[in-house]
Amino acid sequence: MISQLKLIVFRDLLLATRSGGSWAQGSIFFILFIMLAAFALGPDQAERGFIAPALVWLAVTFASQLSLGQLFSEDLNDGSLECWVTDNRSLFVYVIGKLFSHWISNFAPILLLSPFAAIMLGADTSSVPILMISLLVGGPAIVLIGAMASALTANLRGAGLLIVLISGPLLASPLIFGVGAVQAGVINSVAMKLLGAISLFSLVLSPVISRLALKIHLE
Amino acid sequence: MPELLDFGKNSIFIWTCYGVTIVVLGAMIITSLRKKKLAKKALAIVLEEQKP
Amino acid sequence: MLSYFANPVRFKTLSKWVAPILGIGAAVLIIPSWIMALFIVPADYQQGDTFRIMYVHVPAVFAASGAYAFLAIASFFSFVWRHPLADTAARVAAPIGAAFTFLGLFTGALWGKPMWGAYWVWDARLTSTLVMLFLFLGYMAIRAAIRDENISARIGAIAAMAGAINLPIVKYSVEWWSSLHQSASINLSGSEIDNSMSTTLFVGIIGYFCLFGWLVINNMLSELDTRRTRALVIRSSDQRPSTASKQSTGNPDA
Repeated sequence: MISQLKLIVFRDLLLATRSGGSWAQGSIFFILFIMLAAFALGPDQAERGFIAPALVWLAVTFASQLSLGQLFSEDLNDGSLECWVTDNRSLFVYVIGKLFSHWISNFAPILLLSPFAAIMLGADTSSVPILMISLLVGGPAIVLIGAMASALTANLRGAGLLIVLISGPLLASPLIFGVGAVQAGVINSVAMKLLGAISLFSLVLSPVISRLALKIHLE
Repeated sequence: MPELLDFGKNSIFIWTCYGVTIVVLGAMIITSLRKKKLAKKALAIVLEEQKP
Repeated sequence: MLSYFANPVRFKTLSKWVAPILGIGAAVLIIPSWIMALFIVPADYQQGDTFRIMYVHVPAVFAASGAYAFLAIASFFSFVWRHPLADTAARVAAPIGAAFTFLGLFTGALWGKPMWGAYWVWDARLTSTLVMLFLFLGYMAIRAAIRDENISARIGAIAAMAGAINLPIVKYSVEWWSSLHQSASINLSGSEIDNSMSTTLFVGIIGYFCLFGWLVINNMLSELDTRRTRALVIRSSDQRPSTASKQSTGNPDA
């Protein structure tokens, strides 16, 4: 099982390095979102800082959803997923591996950029660590919910918008508690705990649902 | 009757609410009935055509 | 194959009884409740006549929540037992539920203007109703996007169930979120509810549920007919041209 996990993670990371930088698209979108938000707000508002946690969380949420579009559909369309299953390998391990490698290749760069985005938006430097912690705690929930939607729409071409449509309502909870945790300003706030709870809950629910959905697409 | 229909300054809100509700529910009822009739008709035509 | 067709037939005979009961029930409950609400129930001493909006708002929101529960349960049946009827029920319930949700939001907004001085406040109840509208729309979008009926049914069922599992969490988070604002919200339990008020409201809610049931059954019946028509047309077009010409020559005789 561990060897299968290794196989899928290394394969995906290798593919990411050879994909011509498609792993960076989410990060670029992230910065672009922040920039356009600053334009919309005007220079005075954009430097005030109080909107920084909200905007960074929003940008992370959308950037992660958009980067999830191709998570399962490529493997499903080119038949490698079918090979994986016919080789009697576990679909569940495949989903976990996919999520893990996506986290490293696509989500981690966004996370690394987020403190800079927060500072650009005038956030207090002392509030940046708590923002990072909230993104680390709540990030899994966002990616897992998006992955679930990505698996459901895996057999559709250009399902990008549909993914956001399905995951969007469910993203309300991590967004609420994520921004709430930053505003609370301490690590052990109620919001942070609830955020962690939602991540753990998604960790249980999302792989199960993604596996079911992929199984249906393979039938 | 006019004074019965008058709910003071907020009349317009009340009547819009009831009006929109009636329009939406009515539209749903009418489309549902029409769809049923059309579906029945189409089925009858196809069944008639395919009679041996 | 036989059981597949047997069940819709049984459903059809049953619906011949149930549909009229629900339809008449809806009419004799909803219309009197509105007449009561508009002309007979006394004005609330705090909110005045604006209170009368409650009688179209609350039943719509209740029916919308009921519709989502129905969608989730039907999806569960469709997913676990692969029951085509359950899938049809889920499929036709979604747009009806979305319409009820829209009505709940619209009347809520118009109630908010005289009450709070704004059409929209990010009150917990309004906001979670908005989330529910998007769950309905997402379900409808995914059903429309997947062409293959079988896959569409199963994927849609999973999406609906995932939404249903998450809905309480979303609702709780929205409540937590709006409690931060301490915005003025109407407190129904705080104001004195007259006996005739609660009766009228209760009658209206039951009436809306009857209407929902009637619409679902009616739309299911037309969906079944359409599906059967499609199956017959596909079957006849699959036949050899020779049989088709034989049929056309055979027809004038009949």
